[in-house]
Amino acid sequence: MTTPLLDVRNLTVGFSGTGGGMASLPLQGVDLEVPRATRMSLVGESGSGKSLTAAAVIGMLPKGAEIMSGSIRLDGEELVGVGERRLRELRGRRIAIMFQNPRASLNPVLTVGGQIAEVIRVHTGAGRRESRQRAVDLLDQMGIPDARRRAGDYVHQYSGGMAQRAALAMALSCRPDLLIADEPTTGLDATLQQQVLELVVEQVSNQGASLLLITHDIAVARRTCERTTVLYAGRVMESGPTGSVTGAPANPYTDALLRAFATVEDGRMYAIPGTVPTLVGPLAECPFTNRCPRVGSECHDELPPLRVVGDRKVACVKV
Amino acid sequence: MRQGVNGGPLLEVWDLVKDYVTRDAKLRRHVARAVDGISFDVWPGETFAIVGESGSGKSTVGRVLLKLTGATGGTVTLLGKDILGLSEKQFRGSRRHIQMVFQDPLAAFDPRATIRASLREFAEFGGDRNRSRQDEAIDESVRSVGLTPEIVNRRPSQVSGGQLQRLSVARSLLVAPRLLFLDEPTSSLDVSIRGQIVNLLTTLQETEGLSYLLVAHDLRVVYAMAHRVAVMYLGQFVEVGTKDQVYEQAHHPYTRGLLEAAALDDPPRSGQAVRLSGEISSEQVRSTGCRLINRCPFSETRCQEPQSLRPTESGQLVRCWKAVEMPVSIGLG
Repeated sequence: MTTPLLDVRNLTVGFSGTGGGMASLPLQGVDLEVPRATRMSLVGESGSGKSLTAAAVIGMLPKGAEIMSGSIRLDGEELVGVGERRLRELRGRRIAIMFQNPRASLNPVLTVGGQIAEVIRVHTGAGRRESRQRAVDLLDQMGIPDARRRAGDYVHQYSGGMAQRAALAMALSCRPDLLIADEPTTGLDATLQQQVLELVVEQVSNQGASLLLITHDIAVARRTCERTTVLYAGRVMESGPTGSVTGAPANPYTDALLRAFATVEDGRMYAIPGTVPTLVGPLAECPFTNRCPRVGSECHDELPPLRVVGDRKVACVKV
Repeated sequence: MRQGVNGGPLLEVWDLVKDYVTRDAKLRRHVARAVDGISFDVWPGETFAIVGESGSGKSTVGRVLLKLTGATGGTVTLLGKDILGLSEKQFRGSRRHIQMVFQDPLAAFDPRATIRASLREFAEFGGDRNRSRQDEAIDESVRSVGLTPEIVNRRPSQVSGGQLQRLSVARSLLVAPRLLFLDEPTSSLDVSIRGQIVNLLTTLQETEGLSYLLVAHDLRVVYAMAHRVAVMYLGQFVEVGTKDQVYEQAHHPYTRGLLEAAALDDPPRSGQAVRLSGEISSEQVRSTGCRLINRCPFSETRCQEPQSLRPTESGQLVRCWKAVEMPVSIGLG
C-alpha cells in the first residue's frame, strides 16, 4: 500500500486552562487519511473540531491549544514536534490554505498581483518580470476578468467572489500537493459558492493536487469531493467514498445529519434533538449517545473505535 | 384562524421604494435604490417568504415594515392602517402587532441582564404592569417554545444558540403579535438545530394563527415554512408565486440558478438547470432593462427593454419576457 499524502493518526488536541490543567479536549483521537490527487471533505457542525484539525495540520493552532498525542505525516514526514522553520518551508510549497474570509489570506496594503508575484519569486527564484507575468496568468486562469489591470488593484477593490478567486490563485501559486480549504464559500452567496467550488475542483485536479475541504454543509461535500469524513464532537464517526457515506450512511450521526439537510413536508424539517456535548474531559463512551435514535446500553460501554466496515470506516458499536 | 381586517390581508405593501442616500468626500449625493417598487400582502396564518442573495434588498423590506428606517415611496397597511405616515408615538399601538426575530439571538439580548429581565420588558410592553402576572406570562411563553421556565434566570451567554433563538421567539410572543418578521431565523444555528426552530415556528403558526414574513437565503428552510415565495434580485421581485410554483415550476432564470446552486435533492426542478455567471452588482440597478442581463445565459437585445412582472401559464408572476412568451427557448416545458 502506498503512503497517503496526508496521514493523521490518533490526533488529540487540548486547550490548557488556568492552573496547568486541560480546560477542554476538542479533538480526541482523530484519524484522517488523504490519498494523493484526491479530494477529501471533512464535514462537521460547529464545535466538531474540523477547523482545529486543519489548523493542527498546518501547524497554526490557536493560542492555548496544543497537540497532546498522535501523529501528522505529510508524505511520510512527521510534522508533530517539527520546528517552525521546517513548517514554514512546507506551508506554501507543499501545503496551502484558503480561509472562509479571502481577505484574511491577502495583504491589504499590497496589490493583489504584487503579492502573488512576490510569493512566486521567493519560492521559485524566478525574476521579477517573469514572476509578475506568472501572477497575471494565474489570476486569469482563476477567471478574473481583465487580469492584467486587476492585478494592480488592492483586495478591498475586489468583490467577495473575486477576492476568493485571488486567494485561490495565491494558494496555488507554488503548486502545493495539498490544498486545505476551510469553509471557502460559506460567506458567499449560493450562485457564487457553486462557481468558486467548481473552480477549486478544476484547479486542484489540473495540478494533480489533493484537496481537504472543510465544510459544515454535507451537500457541498457531496458535489465536490470523492471521499468524505464526518466529524462529531472531536471524533471521526464515518469516513469513506462520498457516494457510500452520503448515499447509505452507516453511522446514525451521518444519517441524522443527512436527514437534517433533506427537506420534509408539512412545514417540518428533521431535527436532531439536544445539543453537541462540550468536551471537557476524555470521552468514555460514544459522544452521540445522548441524541442518537438507535442508542443501546452497549453504546455506553466504551468509546467506539474507527473500524473498517466494507468500503469505509465507521465508529459505532451498532454497525 | 384569526382574521385580518374584514377577512382581508393582515399586511399590504404597495409599490414600496427605499433609497439610501450617501455623500462622498466631495459631498456629492449618491442614491442607492435598495427596494424598487415591490408589492405583496401577507394573510392571517400565512408565511410569505422573500428569498435572494445578499444585496437583493430583502432585509431592507423588513426594516421599513418595522419602521426602523423610513420609506422613500409606496404604502404599507397593517391591519387596515397605513403605518408609513404615522409618527413613532402613533405607531406604538401598531408595533405590538408586528414583531421581529433576529438572525443572531446573542446580539438580540442584553448580555448583562438575565433573560427574565429582557422578557419582562416585553411583558410590560404587552400591557400588564403586575409583576406576578408578568412572570406567569413569561413562564407560559417559555413553555410554549419547548423550554423549562427556570432557564430565564440565566444570562444569554449561559444558554445554547438554539435555546436562545427559542427564547427570542418566546419574547416576541409576549406582546401577542399577529405577524412575526423572521430575518434569517436559522442561519446562525447548526444544521442539526435548524430544524428545531423551523418546527417550533410551524407549530406556533398552527396553534396561534400567526403570520410570518420570512426573509432567508436558505432555500431548504423556505421550502419547509413558506406558503408563498417572492424571489428578489437587486431591489425587485423577479418571481412571485406559491411555494410549489416557485420551487417546482420555476420560470425566471435567476430563480432556476438559485435552485440549481442550492443543490436540493428534492423538490424536483423544472426544465434544464441554469448556470449564472458573475455576481450581483449594484451597478445594474441603474439599467432600465433586466437587471440579470450580464449574468443570464439567455440574455439578448430585447432584455435591455424594461421588464414587468407578468403571469405565466402555471400562474406565478415572472419578470422575464422570454419565460412568459417563449418558455421553450430557455429550456422550460
